Amino acid sequence: MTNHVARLYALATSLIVFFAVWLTISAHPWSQSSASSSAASPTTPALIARERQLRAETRRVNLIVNRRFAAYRRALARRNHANAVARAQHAGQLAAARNAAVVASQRVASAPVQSSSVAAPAPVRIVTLPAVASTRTS
Amino acid sequence: MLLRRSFRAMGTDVECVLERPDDAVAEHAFDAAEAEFARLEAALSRFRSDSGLSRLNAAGEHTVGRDLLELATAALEARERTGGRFDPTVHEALVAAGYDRSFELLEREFPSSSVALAEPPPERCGGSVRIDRARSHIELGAGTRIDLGGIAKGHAADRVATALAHAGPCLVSAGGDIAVRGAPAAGVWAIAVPTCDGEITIGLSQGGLATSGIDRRHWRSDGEERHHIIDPATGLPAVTDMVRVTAVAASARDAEVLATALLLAGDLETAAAEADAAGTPCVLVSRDGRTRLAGGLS
Repeated sequence: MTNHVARLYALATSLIVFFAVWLTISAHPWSQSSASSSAASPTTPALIARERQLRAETRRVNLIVNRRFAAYRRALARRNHANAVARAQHAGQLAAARNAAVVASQRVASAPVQSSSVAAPAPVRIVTLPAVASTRTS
Repeated sequence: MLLRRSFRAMGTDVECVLERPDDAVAEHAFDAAEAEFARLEAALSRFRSDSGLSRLNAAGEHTVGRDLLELATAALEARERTGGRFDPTVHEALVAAGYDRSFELLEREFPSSSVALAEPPPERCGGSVRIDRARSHIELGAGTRIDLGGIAKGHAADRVATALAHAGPCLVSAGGDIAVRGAPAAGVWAIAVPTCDGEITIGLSQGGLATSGIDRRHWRSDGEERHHIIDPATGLPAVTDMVRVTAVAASARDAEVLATALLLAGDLETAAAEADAAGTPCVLVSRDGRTRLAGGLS
């Protein structure tokens, strides 16, 4: 019995020691020295300089792109405004043409009826008023 | 009330009609109108050697005043618009046809209106006129001279009417060229237009009206009728079966151009069709006694 207990203690102790060693080895206590040795590699400064150069180029490219995009947005706004003005003019001309067509058709349809001419006064018409002035060959 | 002031200017009878009470403002407005006519005549007459137009014609190029610049530009635009029927470069053709002095002098020197002139040679029209608006400079092509006769009267009527309108609704008549601004109490300005059978009255509330014809300012040459309307296509007095055309437009100046262009259509039916197509209200009177209303006028 005593021997049996001793063996169990011995087994437990050896297991603890085994895991302690395992953990120590898995922690790679030697890797620190390996990293410090790689930092001293001669390609590192060149890579760092290259990275800085690329970052600077990126900033410049972004600046140019932003400027061009702002100019594009301004041109787009101008064009949209011009389109809106043209659309408004077109709508006005269309309305005037429709109005003129209506006035003309009223004038033709109701030529003998004086009251219609008064309702839709034309810019020029024959009247029966006494003449204020007369025209002749100039 | 309608106030009137009549005077002579630009070789024709001018009448200004103003609707307002007879007061100092009206008197001042009429004085200003008369002065403006005198000023425009001094700038635009080809019969005054000291005018801007005469100096331009004499030198071939000149720095000109605002009115001459504006009117020459308008006349050239009218030449484009009418396909060359209205042309300010008919000066040489007019002179060749015998219209080399004011018609008042022509009538005084040849009272029978039967001037024995030789057959005028055809003169080239459509000469080049270069206008530099920035420098107020006009340059005429070789052998080109400008006459602004009718259009100058229309321009003057428009300008004076616009100025007179500050005093009230008005009508300005320079010979046959009439400009109206503002509606009078009657609603429209009633203007008599001569026809074959008498006259009709047109009511105008805005814009202008002008008559172009061959029934005045004419003379006989070798038994043949000569007149002052030159056909730029031939450089000779126009051959047309119409006596006169009265046209209505947005201004007296435009009306003068349209009336001349329609007269040069040659015959009444063609002119009526053109006026209908363009929507130019007009009264056409032919030599054979027909009167035709066109362009929506009825």
